[in-house]
Amino acid sequence: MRVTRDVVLTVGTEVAWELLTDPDELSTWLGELSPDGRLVEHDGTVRRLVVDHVDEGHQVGFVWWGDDGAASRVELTLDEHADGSRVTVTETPLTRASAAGGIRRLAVGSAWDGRLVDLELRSLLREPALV
Amino acid sequence: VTSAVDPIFAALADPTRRTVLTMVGDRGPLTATELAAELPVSRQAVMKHLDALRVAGLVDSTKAGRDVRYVLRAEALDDAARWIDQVGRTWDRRLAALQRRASTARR
Repeated sequence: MRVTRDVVLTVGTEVAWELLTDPDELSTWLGELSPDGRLVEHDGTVRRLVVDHVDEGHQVGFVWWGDDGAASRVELTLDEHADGSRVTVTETPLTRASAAGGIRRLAVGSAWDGRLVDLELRSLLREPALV
Repeated sequence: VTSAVDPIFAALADPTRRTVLTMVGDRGPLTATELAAELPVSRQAVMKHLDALRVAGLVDSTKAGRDVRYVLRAEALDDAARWIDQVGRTWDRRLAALQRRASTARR
């Protein structure tokens, strides 16, 4: 069960990739992303975000969750298109248990900054339901 | 997005459980025995799935004599549908902003 949307951008995939991943660009359409993974959307919604997958120039995946602890996984995929590039987004809800499991798996992955994972883990585990 | 839909999505993650829910929704009220007769799993397994669906609020059970019959609780599915609708509309808004940004970016 998931939500899927796509949009065609009139820029090449190289520029589109910047729009999707550069924090300065993200602030123009998604929200302000701090280095600690805190995202404040333009409507004031605050979420925590952990990137768990990057395929440079093509796909970025992350888990995010709001104050109520409801987490979902988001994937942004970039493809070439006749008019420029196509961005496809999928958002899949996660249960609390699978979100915590995902974060724990991240913690043992070598590609991720351990300090950031510690931070996310502590933030997640503050919820007794996740222990 | 509310965490109230968490158990719903968890319950729907299993394919057999989705089949059970569909059968109950299409032809309920049904008993576990009636469901198991049409599924490649044991009655005990069907009972477990029904219990998970009941805990998630997706089905209700009623006792009729010695039988326990299960019916769909459509309200719970409405919660899930509402989540999908709300998340979809939010992405429409974000992607429209992305499109506007792209139209002013260097090519």
